[in-house]
Amino acid sequence: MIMEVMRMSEVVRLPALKRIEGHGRISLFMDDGGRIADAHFDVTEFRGFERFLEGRMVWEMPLMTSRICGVCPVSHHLGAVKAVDAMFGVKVPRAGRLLRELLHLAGIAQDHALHFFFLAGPDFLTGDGAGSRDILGLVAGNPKMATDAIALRKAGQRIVQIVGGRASHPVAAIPGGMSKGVDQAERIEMLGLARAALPTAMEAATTARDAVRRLHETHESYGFAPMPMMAQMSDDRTFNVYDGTIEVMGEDGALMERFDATEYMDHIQERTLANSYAKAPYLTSRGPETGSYRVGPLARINMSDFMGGPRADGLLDEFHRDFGRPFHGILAYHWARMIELVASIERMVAILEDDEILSDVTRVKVERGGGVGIAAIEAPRGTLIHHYEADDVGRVTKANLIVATTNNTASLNASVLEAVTGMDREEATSEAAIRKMELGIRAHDPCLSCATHDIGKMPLTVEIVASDGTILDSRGVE
Amino acid sequence: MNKPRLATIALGGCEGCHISLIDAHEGLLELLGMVDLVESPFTDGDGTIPPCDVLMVEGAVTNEADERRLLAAREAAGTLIAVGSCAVMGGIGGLRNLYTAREAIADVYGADKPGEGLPPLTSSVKAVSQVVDVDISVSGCAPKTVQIVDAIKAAVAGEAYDLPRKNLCDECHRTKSKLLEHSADFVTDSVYSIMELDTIDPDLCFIEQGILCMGAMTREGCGARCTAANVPCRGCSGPSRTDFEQGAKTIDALAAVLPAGALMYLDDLIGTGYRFSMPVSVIPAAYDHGGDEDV
Repeated sequence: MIMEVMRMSEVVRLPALKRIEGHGRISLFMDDGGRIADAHFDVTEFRGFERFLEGRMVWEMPLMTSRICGVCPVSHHLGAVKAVDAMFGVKVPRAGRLLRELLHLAGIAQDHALHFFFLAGPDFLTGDGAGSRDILGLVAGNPKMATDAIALRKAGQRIVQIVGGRASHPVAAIPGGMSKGVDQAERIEMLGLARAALPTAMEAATTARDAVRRLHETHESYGFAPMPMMAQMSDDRTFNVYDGTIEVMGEDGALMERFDATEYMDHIQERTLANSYAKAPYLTSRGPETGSYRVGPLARINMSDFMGGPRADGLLDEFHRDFGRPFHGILAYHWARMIELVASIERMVAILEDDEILSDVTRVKVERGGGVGIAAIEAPRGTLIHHYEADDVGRVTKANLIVATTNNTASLNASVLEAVTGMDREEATSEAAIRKMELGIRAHDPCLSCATHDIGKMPLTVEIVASDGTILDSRGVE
Repeated sequence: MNKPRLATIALGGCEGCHISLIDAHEGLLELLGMVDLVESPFTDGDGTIPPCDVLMVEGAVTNEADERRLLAAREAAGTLIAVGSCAVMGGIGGLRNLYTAREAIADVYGADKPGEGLPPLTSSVKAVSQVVDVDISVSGCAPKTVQIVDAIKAAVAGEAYDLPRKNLCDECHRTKSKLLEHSADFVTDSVYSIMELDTIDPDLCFIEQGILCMGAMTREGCGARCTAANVPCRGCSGPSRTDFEQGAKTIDALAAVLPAGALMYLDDLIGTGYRFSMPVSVIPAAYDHGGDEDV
């Protein structure tokens, strides 16, 4: 890698951080002594969903908000439909609920596989001999792993397509339930796919465990900063991505807060950041300085007592034995994610074995009206909250969305800062430092398409900012 | 023999078109065997588009950085394929054009809005073809995997790729009856959301059930998966011909068969009719004319 420091504010072209969903930017801030003192992971584009959702009909939200993200459209589709159900006080029939959960689990399975194998995995799966640290390197260097990844994604996306009507931006979840059921032939196909995916997922979990152990050796104590964790879970603390109660676990592992999604505004506040379209949520009880928290697989695995299936429960025990509880090391996100993959597949099998899945009572009729609807769902990257208000004919008057990646803003910033804190400009832009920042960021699996539902696409650039605010150096591509 | 060079780029959008491409699964490996993938969001390059034979562009132009990247990529590319409704028509993010950029930011972020050091928003969201020349267009949100793969293969082979020109009703399995009768009456007494129906008839045309369905105003080729899933079309593939406004056509077509008052009051003709095509439409975008007050 050729690297040269150019004059102030001139752009040096370097491999930018990619292989995240969307693009972002790192800004490194220097103190008077020329040492890195602060770091931000910025979101640099704005799409404006919260504005233009106003005036739309509220029952269209599941079809519109799925377009926030092409990677986890199912999460927004279901987060929105649950919020609209809440607005209209709907109780979804059991078959409809099971189909929605199945849809969500399949979406999570394909998403986790995509990230582990194709986006983050190349950093540590393909080995030093690989031609490139990306999907091409994986295909060339470890074809078995590439075909495993494809098999897992294919199973997940096929189930999304059957249950949701389409693989990309599914449509079948409507207020009141599901627009359609599944038949016996589809059930048999899905059951076959899920059962066949289980051994592949178990192998992936072993691969992830070994990779995390290796990463902990090579990167010692990197990414261990303690932070509260948040996840929505079942009352008995069984892993449950579809619904439950939101809990916050303190740095010491004690339960800090427990609340229904509808009360989120009493517990979470958002602040706007300079230089980024991402907002930064924090716990009201702690305030903006110390109220940041983590979400996603690491939080869920720390907080779950059970995963809901025998294989995943075994993996959960191993994780808790290996690391103790709670464990804050962000590199363990990768292992946590694959444990969730196994749990998701086991739960899909259980749902598909339930004869209720064939019921044609998948929905109830819903009368239009207005009011407030708030709901949360555990998206692949963590807690996702949809909040709508509508007038009497059902026209949206307010929309607020707190997305998973946004919840992780502080943890992302902390992992970037830790990689380069105290370094001078040269060290901070060395290949080793950039790789470490990338490793920390990718562990979270940030989805910038979601991150402000307002964001978008900028390849990652690194900016060095002097204490007077001058941009000294910017690396990457504008 | 050198393989054709393929690059892909994502502008303002959701990456769903890239996911739809990856959903080729084994077909992706086959495609990667046919071309040299020189740059994409999923590879480790630096984000600039090197000289390439075929370029796939996902996403719309939403800010000045998108615009610069697109102009540079156009220079580097032989055949440019606009993939997905954001690239082809501006897409759902184009609904931002109902407001000026300043209004949209102020509303989402309030008084303490970000801005310093961020790429300025373009005054309106633009389709790729409004900024550079496009050789092949594949609309859809997202297009079916096979449509994207076929378009890339056609471009690699130097062949044309055209989407079908009929409207969605042509490939929708639903039957029409009342719509085909000569009658002075509307086909229903009101306009409903599917959630309001006692049962959603899986085989009868949605319009005849009193549901605003965009099928008649929308290009076929997607396989009519939404109407097959018992959900009305929302027009994501755009108009079947580019010479009409999808939203205006909606009003034109439906006002004759559904009660117009109910359409206007009980549904959202703008947000449905123009959901994916606002930036390439003449109405009803807002323009920021500069100065402190909008004209």
